Amino acid sequence: MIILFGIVATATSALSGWNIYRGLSDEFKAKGSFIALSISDSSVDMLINSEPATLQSVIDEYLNILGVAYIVIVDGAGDIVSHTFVPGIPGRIAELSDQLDSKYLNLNSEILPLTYDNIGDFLNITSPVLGGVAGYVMVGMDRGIIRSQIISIVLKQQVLIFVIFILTIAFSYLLIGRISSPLNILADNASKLARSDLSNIDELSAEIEPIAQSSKDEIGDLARSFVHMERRLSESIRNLTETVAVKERIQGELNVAREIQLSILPQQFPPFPHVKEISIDAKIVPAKEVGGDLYDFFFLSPKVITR
Amino acid sequence: MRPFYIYILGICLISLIYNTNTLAQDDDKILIGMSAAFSGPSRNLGYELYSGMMAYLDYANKNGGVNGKKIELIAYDDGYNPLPAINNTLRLIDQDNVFLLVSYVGTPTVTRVLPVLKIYEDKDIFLFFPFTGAEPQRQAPYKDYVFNLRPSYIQETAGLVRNFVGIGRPRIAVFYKADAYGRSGWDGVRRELHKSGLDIVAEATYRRGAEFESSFGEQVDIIKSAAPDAVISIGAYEASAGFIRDAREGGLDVPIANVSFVGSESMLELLLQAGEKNSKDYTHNLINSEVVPNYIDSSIPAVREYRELMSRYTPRLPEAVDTGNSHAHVPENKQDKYGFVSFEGFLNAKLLVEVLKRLGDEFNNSEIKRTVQNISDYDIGLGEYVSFSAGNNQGLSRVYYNTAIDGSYVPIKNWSVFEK
Repeated sequence: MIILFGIVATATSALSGWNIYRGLSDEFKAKGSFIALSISDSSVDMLINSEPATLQSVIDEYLNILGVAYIVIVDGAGDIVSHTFVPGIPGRIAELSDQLDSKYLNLNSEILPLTYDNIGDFLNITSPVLGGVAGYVMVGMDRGIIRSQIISIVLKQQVLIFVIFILTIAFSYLLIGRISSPLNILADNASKLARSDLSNIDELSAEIEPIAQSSKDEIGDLARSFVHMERRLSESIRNLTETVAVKERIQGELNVAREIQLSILPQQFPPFPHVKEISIDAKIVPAKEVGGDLYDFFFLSPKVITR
Repeated sequence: MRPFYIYILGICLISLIYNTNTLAQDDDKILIGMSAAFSGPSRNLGYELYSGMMAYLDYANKNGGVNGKKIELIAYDDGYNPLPAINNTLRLIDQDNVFLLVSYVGTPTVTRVLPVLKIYEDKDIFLFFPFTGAEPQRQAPYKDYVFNLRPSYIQETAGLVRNFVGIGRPRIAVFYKADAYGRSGWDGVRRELHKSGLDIVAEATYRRGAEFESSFGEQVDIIKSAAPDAVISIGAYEASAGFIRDAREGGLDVPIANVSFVGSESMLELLLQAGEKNSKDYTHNLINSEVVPNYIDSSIPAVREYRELMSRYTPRLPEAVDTGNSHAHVPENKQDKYGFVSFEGFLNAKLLVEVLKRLGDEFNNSEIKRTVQNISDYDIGLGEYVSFSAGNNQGLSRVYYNTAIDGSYVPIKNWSVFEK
């Protein structure tokens, strides 16, 4: 699931990021070109009459527009007569302004990506004034803004997806919990039953009673079956115990009867040790515990024995 | 009877209309309007200029005003920002019906207000003596709507450059504010250097709004790496003082010169405070150009008058600024009652009252231009005369130079003390 999340987040972010980049880049290019052209159109007189202060007022106003990082005005002699840099003119810009020449006679704005002095990444748009004869206007649009917008939106997206992910997990967890928890209890219960000596079935049954009562779904059915089974088991065991007890009781009585019976029977063999003419031995093997037929021997007269 | 009443009503209406069309307001008051920085990093400028003006206007009003009419100065705060300045101007013209505008502060603000004057040219609303040496209000097309008293930045910077070059310091660097004012000064330095085939050896800018506590280390590094002989600074007092402090800390010991707009006393005070804290002297090798003489020189009549009136003046904020603005306040730590900016305000007011008096009975906006352009060799008490003409809308042109010694400004008698 995490991998899935990762894929979704990355894909959507990449797509958004790309779209924003394209959109903003185009907008910045257009904006910058328009500004450069607008300034170059309006500064002809100011350049020709050499009024740097008035030019400065004009370009200072444009600096308020979002995305505009700097504006430079170069006069016909190639000198920078107005600019908005603080604290100083970056070397790259000074180089660029030196290079301005007949390249720009065709009146088209040229756009040039420009990075300098760790200060940033800019789109430098140049527009000639009066074909370059009166001078040039350079407007720098800050690509860093595009980047930071992209990062901001991508981050927001990632956070959103992450939050949704967390919520989904939490929700799923809760949902599954509702199912698995009773299952766990039932499983636990069954294994306890298996391990027990079957004497505490009623207790075990009571453990899952609540589930049997409350759940209306399959889990509930299972629980109710468990309870039923355990009850039946319990009952059977009770019956068995009872039966065994009865049997033992009977057995006990039979044993007593047998003892009594046996004690009635002559114990001593031979029974008439002083009569040497005969020897008598007897054995009784009852079919079960007690016999129906018994033996004994008496002297009818001193010469006749009967049994 | 009916027609008679209508007739009376008609006359009343007509006189009402007539009154609001011709002049400002009531017959016993002359309303003049001002928009300046009373808040933000340049607040001391608006306040001091206003104080100097009010010191003189209080005196003038106590002595009969102008032909019996009292002068009332309505001042609004623009915080040194162009848009509020424009709004204030529209309010002063449309709602307050001022007779004229006076003592605006700053290049970015004044430059943006100029077109408003052009729009109202039918009303003949003029801007008198703005506190800025920039070129736009000294050149076509806006010079027709403005009268300047002070010399321009071009004149100030040209003077500084000539003096520096003259004492063997031709490698000049410029530290300036990234706005139209800074650019003006930069342009002035550059033009003068070009005349001798030289150029600015290094330049560094700072963003408007920078405070004394900010670090100007980067700017110092840029300038220092070009090994200049001198630095000309076109800034506001907080940033200029901060730059000087960081320059001296960074081992840049060459003379640093400021122009009059910096707010000299405020800058000096910041340097002295910092110097006390760090047990250093940040005020040596400091040069300030000014457009008025030093107010310690009591040999000058205008200085005497200024000092007298300032000592009688009760420091206060303009009513509109006081009630409407939580950021404006009477600046604390005013060591001295006197200063270059309030002296200039004083002179502005004095000349303005003179102009109003000269309007005489024909007290009308349409007479202003002619009246001012007729002023020739007027003695305002400086030793230098004030002159205007059809081609010249700037009354004075002399630049003065001061340096800081023992915690206050004294005139530079000889530039050779700054020789290499």
